[in-house]
Amino acid sequence: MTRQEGGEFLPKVFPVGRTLRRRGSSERGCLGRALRSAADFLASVRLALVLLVLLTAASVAGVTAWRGIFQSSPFLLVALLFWLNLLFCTARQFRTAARFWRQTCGGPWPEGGRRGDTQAGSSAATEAASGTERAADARAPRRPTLEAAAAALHRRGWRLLRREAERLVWGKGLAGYWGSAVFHAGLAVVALGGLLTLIMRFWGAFGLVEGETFVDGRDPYVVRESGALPLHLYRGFAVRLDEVMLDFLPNGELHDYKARVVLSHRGREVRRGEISGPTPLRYGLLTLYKHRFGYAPAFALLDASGRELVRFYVTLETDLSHGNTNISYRGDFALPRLPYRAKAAFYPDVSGQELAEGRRPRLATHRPGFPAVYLEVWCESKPVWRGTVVMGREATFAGYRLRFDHYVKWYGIAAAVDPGVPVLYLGFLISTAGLALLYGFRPRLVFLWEESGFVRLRGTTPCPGPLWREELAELRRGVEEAAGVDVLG
Amino acid sequence: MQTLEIGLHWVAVGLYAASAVAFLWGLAFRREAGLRWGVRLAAAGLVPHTAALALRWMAAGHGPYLRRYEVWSSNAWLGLALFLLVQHRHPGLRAAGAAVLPVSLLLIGGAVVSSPEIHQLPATFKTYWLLVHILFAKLAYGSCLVGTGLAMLYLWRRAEPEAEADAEAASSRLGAESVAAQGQAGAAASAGVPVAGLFPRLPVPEVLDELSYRFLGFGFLNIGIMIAAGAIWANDAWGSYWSWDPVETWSLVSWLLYGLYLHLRRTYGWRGAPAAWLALGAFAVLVFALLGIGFVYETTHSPYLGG
Repeated sequence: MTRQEGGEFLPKVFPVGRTLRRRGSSERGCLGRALRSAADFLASVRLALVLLVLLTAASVAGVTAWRGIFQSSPFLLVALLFWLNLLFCTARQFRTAARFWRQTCGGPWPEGGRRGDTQAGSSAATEAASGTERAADARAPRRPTLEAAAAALHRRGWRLLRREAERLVWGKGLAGYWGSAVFHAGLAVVALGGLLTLIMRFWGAFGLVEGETFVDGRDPYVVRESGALPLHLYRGFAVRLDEVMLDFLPNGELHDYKARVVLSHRGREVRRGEISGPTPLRYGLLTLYKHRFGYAPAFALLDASGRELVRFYVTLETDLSHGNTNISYRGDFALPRLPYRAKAAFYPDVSGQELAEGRRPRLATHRPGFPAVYLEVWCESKPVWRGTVVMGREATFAGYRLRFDHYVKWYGIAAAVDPGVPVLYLGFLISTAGLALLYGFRPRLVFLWEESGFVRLRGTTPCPGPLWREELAELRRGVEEAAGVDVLG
Repeated sequence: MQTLEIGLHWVAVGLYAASAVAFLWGLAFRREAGLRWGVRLAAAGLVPHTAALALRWMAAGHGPYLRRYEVWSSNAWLGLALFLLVQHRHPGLRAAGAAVLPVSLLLIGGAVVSSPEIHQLPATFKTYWLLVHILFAKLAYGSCLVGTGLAMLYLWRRAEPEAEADAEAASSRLGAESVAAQGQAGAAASAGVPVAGLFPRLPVPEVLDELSYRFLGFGFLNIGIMIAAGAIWANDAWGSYWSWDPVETWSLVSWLLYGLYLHLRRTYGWRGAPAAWLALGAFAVLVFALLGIGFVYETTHSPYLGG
C-alpha cells in the first residue's frame, strides 16, 4: 500500500517490513515448505499487529477486570508468541537492511563498476565543485553538466554511493535504515530478560535487629517469591546487620532508613556497605534491597514473685503498601510461655503527651526520645490489660508483670537474584540505540542523471509523504541555484 | 513567596484562558488574527507560569514533579512551550493551538485548584533515573499533545467543505511559485478579513497528517525511554523492575497503542482519518496514565501524583 516516489523508475530500495518471499520454495521438500510456512507466519507483520492488539486488550483487562491475567497461561502464551514473532521479524529486518546496505553502500558493483568508483565519483564531484566555484568567481557562464549538479549535492552533505550506468546514486542518513531492526532486536532482548526473570528469579525478605546475622538456608524468609527454576548461585550467603541509620526531616518524619551490612558468601566477606532508599548493595547477581524498618521493643516477663521468666523483643511491623512504607510500628504477638496474646504499638517519643489510662498516645515524631508502648493483652477474646507503658515501667495482669526494658531497631532486607535484569538492561540499551538511529537518521536516496540536455533528480525514502516531496523539490531548487543547471524531477 | 507563586499561576490561567478563546474564535470564524492573538496570549501566559514554577522549585528544593499541583502545572508548561516552539518554526501549524490550549488550560486549572502544600522528596527519589524518567514522561506528554493537536486539526480540516479545493491550491504552493500566493493571502489575513478557503499558511491535510505522525513517533520514543528509566529506578528502589502496577500497565498500554499506530502507518500505509482517530484514542490513554490514574487507583505513584 505504500508508494514510493518515482513509480516504476526507482528500484524498491526501501522495502517495508512485509514478509519477503524467497525464490525456489517449490523446490523444497514437504518439511522444508512447512518450516518455511511456519517461519513466514511467525515473521508476519499481520501477526505482530494481532498480538499487539491482544497484549493491549489483556493489559487493559489486567488493570480493570481480571487482575490475575498477567500470571495466566493464555497471557503467557500470547507473550511467548509475541516474542517469537519479534525474533523472526527482527531477523528478517536485519536481512533486508543488510541487503539494502550491500546494494547501496558496498558489496559487488553491478554493470562492471568498482568500489573505487565512489572515490572517483566523489573526487570528480569535488573537482567539479571547485571548478564551478572558480567559474562563478570569473562570472563565466556555467556548463549545465551532471558534474556540476553532483558537486552541488556533495556540498549539501550528500554522499555519492555508486554509479549505475548513467545514474549517480547519492545517499544521506542511511544508518537510520538499521534503526528499526536494532530497535526490535533490543525489544527481543528485553523480552528475553523478562522471560528469564519469570523463570529464574528468586526474591526473599527477612528481618534483622542490629547485630544479628541472617544465613540463607538456615533462617526462614518472611516472604519469598520464586520462579519455576530459581537460580541459587549464592546459596548459604549470610548478611550481618551492623547498624540501622535513621534520617529525619525537621518535622520529625522519617526521611530514609539505611542499613550498614556485611555480606558473606562461602565463609568469606564479599561486600560491606550501606543499603538505602535508592541504592541497593550488589554482589554479582545477588542484590540486597531496603525493604522495611521498624523499632523492636524488648520486654522482660516476670512472675508475681519478681522472677524473670523470659526476655524477648517484638519486631513491630511497618505497613508496606504500594511500594511505600507507612511507618506505624504495630504488631500482634503471643506472649511466650503464657496463654495470652498481645497487641502492641510503639511510640518513639511521647514526651509532652498526657498518657491517660486506656488512651493511645499520638505518633508525634519518629525520632526516638521518651519511648512508650501501648499494649493490649488478651486471653482468648477477653481483654485482660490495656494501657501505655513507658520504658522501664511494667504492665501487670493476672499475676504476671511485663516490663518494657529497652528497644532496638530492626531492618527488613530483600535479597534478590535475577538473571533477567542484566539482560533486560542490555535490551534497553540496544532498543535506545535503535530508536536513536531511527529518529536521528532519516535514510534518503537521490538518483541523478542527464537526459536530453537536462539534469534529472529523483529520490526515495521509507514512507515518502508530502514533506519528502517538498524536501525533494527544495533540493532540486537548491541544486539548480548552486550548479546553474536546470534540474527536473 | 507561595502567595506570589499562586498569584502568578492564576495570571497564567487567565492568559491561557484568553488564548484558548482566541484560538477557538479564530478557528470557528476563520480569522488568522484570532490565531495570532492566541499565540501572543499563550506566550504571555508562559512568562508568569515559568516564574511560578521557578519560585516553586526554589521553595521546594526539588523540581516540580511531586503531587498533582506540580506535575500538572509543569506538564502544561512543557506542552505549551513545545507548541510555541513548533509554531514559531512552522507558523502554519499555529491553528493546532485550538486543541493544545484548551487541554493545557484544563491541566493548569486542575493544578491550581489542588493543594499547593510543599512535600519533601522521598529518599527513593534521590537518583538520576528519576530525572530521566520524569524528563521523558514530560517530553512524551508534550510531543504527543502536539501530535494529537495536529491530528485533530487534520480531522477538522478534512471535515471542511473547502478542504479539497484548498488542498489542491496548497499542493501547488509546494513549489517555488507559492511565495507570491502566500504573500497575497498573508496580506489579506493580516488585514483581519476572512481569507478565501482556510488559513493561508495552514498546511494541506496530508502535511498535517505526516507532521502528526512524526510527533507521535517522537512521543513513542519518549514513552519507551520513560518506561525503561522507570523500570531501572523501580528495580533499584524495590527490587522489581516490573510489577504490573496500574501506572506501569497503563503506560505500557499507551506505548502499545502508539506502536500499533506506527506499525499500521509504516507497514500498511494507514493515513488520514483512521490514523488520526487512533492517535486521539492513544493520547486519551496516555493522559490517563500520566495524570489521571491517581483518581482511580491506589498505586506506587499515588503519593506523588495525588492532590
